Amino acid sequence: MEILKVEHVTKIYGSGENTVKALNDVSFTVPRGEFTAIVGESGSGKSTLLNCIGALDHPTGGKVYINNTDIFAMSEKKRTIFRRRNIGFVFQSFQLVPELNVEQNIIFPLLLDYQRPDQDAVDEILEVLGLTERRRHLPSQLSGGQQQRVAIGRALITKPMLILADEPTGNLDSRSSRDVVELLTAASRKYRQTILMITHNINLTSAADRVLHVSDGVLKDLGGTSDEKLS
Amino acid sequence: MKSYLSLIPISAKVHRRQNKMTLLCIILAVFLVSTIFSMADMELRSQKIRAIYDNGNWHIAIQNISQEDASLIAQRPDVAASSWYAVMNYRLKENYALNGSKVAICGVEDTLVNDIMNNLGSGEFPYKKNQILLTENAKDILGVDIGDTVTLTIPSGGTMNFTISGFSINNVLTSKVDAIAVFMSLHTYQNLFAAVNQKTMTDSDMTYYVQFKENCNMRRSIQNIKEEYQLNDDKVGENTALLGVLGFSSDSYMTGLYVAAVVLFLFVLAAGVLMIASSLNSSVSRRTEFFGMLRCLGAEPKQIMRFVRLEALNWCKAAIPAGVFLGLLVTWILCAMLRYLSPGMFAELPVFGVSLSGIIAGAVVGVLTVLLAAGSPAKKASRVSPLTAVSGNAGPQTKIRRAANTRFLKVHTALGLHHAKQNKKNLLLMTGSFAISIILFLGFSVFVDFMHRALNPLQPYTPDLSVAVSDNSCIIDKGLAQEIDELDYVKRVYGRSFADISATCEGRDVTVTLISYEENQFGWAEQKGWAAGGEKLQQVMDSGGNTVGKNYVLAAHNMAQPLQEGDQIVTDRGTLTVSDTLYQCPFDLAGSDWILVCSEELFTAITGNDNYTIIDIQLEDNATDADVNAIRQLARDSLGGRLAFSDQRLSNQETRGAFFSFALFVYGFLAIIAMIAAFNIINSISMSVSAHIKQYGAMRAVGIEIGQLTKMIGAETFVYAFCGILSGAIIGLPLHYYMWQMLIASRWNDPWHFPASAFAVIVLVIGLSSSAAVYGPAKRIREMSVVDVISHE
Repeated sequence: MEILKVEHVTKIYGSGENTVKALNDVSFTVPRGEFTAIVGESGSGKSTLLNCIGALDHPTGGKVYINNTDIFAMSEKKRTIFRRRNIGFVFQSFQLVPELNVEQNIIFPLLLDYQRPDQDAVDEILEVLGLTERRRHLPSQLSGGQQQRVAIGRALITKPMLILADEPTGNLDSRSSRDVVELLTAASRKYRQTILMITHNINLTSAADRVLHVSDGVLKDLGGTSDEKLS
Repeated sequence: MKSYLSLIPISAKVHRRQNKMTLLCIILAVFLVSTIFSMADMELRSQKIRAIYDNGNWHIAIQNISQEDASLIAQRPDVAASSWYAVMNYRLKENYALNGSKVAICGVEDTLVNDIMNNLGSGEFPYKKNQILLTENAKDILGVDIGDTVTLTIPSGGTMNFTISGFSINNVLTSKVDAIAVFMSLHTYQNLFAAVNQKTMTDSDMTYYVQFKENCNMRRSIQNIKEEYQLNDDKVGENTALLGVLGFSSDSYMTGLYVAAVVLFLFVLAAGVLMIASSLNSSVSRRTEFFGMLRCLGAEPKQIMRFVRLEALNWCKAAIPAGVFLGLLVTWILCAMLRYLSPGMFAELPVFGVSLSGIIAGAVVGVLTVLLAAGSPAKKASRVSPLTAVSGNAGPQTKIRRAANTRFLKVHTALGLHHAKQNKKNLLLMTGSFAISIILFLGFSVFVDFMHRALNPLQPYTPDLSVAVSDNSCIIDKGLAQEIDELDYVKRVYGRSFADISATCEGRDVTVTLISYEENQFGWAEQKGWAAGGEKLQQVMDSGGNTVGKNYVLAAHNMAQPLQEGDQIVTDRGTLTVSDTLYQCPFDLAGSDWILVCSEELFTAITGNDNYTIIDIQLEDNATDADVNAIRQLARDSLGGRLAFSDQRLSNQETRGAFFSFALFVYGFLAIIAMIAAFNIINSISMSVSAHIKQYGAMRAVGIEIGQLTKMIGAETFVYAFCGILSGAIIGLPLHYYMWQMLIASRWNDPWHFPASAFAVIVLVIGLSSSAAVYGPAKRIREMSVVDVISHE
């Protein structure tokens, strides 16, 4: 079953001579529970693609369906709520709320939804992420790897259909990077969540079910893992 | 690029949008200071004009001084002009008449007319023997012109002929009593004095008026003259109003005013420093990464400090002229309004007047406050670690020690409150800039109370002209009032009849003063709240003396022996029943027990007299002097020599001018403070939001709604507003009390009361501006794409 369907998405910046085609007629689908990695050089358009899929940015043309819902057909307010409930984000620079502690950061999307967090689910996520001991710590009291784990926890807490990770290991050392990818993979397997991850690090794509390559705004499906294709 | 400092203008150009808010803050601070200084300058100028208009441009008047001493004083380098002055029949009690009209006679030197009073209208000073100068109203009253000969009759019955050399501008006093002032040279006056008094005039019969040069220390000069010529305080009269305006008053009340001005000036300065400091602080916080980069590249902390200071000064290049220009613009509008509202008095006030003190104060205070305010952010910037650039960790510099409390509050509210509280210094600055508006507003609002006590605006019943009889007899035919009322240039005519009648009240013999009102006067009594109005007033108006039933009257409030509703006063011609109390009545008891106000019909029924004692006339705006003369002639035809005509247009103009100039000044100040408060709040919140914008972007990605974001900013703003109002009240109310004691209690002995309306107004301004301040940035964030917000620098 397809959880994500991208249809002829284009994104154009500027006008006239300054026109830049960041995405050029990109189409692909991702089935439920698949861990997909997107690779490509800097400026190739992979972050733009992720922003369009996550409804953070509007594509110039084309459609994005998440669980058969056209996300750009909704009002801004509905789209925000849809994003809060159905998409989890993991950013390269963590983007945690510095005034909230670990546990509060993780349950933040639920609090925004005025939901009472299920304490067992929170404890389980903290356990999985290895942050139980640090649940009352502020982000400033954590290492980069730990902060990114909090961000993953925040992405997982609403049990979204889709998790979008933009260079989640970009600010981490190799060991932390491996941990983060393992966590994402484990989540994907355990909760049957679909993960779309952008990365520069070819080594990290070994965990992915599929690798997409973006170059000059054009997407190519490399099939299995990048390692396989490249090797 | 010649040096690293050349980066400042380049950086300013690139970050124009971000710098706009800081620039706006400096403009507002300079605007506040220059406007207040310019307005104060213009107000002083207008008050000076008024003081000169009222009393003349002299500073001291010395009595009992010898000719020798006077000539020595005239030679002093600090004296600009001086003149002897002597007067006969100042109170118009004696029978001095010019062609039959009563006159006051003044002996003066030419400097008094030309320099000190500066009131020569046409012609020249009467230098020659038997020449005189008359006030301009003589043209209308006597129908004379320059070169004509007039005859002065003295009390003994003797006559003297004089030739008119010119006319001086009318003054309030002569217009009001419809009298003429005669000016003559000292020599001519001395001859007249000898003829009238049968003795030679001595120095003690004259007063010596002295005008000092503008730039001298008048206080010191006055003291010096007193010591040098051994003159005690009784002998040296001061033109208190003029000296007060010039800042040289020795009056303790005026000194109090100066102290109040200094206190308010310090608060205005503090407001400027706080506003600029908080904006520079935000600007530096926003660019921590940039300063880290500079440090990374090898900039010393000192160089960073210099960079921040010069950057702030660079903003001054544009902000100070803009702020000063805005200040001038407001002052021009104010001057134009003054000229429009009181054209006669403030004609001399330039519409496009430039207040040097306003410009200098705005510029100097602008630069100084910017330098002062830049000190702390500059230090903060110099302390930025080079690591911030390397790590990219340019988040909030404040160390967060405690997580937001999401247990009892919704997460957006908790975060908003936390944002406000997390940086103590920022909270202090924001609270300070909110509070200072309240403090300034409360401080200045005392001037409103002061104004209502010191200056009375014209009442709706104030007449332009009054026609009465010299001995106040009730003999003016109502037909005259009707005839005047029919003239095109007359807006309204209302007469009153007075009669003292004997009566009995509860068996006691009493005298009551019965005064008749017509519908206009009853209407004003009701409008001013002096009488309850409604049915009670209507029955007074309807009482005609011949109706079956009671004859109702209003009893003027008499604290000593108050009359109650229903009390009856029995007269020979009928019984009067008190319907209601008239709490204020512009007449004195003058020997009677009570003043009763009744309808004209009842007055006639009780007294048998159908005439008026006085007719008051209000003119249309386009009425001319010729129209006034026509009315005077009508009245003279009716009353002959018994006419007491009063032209109060000049005095009304003066009253109106004084009130308008002060009201414009006070309300202008309050409006500026309120406006600055609103701008400052909106700008401060906008800057605070800018500082957190990256975080808001991340929250939007996670799914925060714009409504929740608005509530978050609202909660933050609420903390600033609440703390600001609280601290503003804690400092502002004692300041209000202090100013009240100094300006009002010391003079009118009125006890202090909580300034509820002023407080409510400023709290409302803060509330409304805070609401506006929340929605602006929220709208801005909504219009930005989430990606832009996250990548926003």
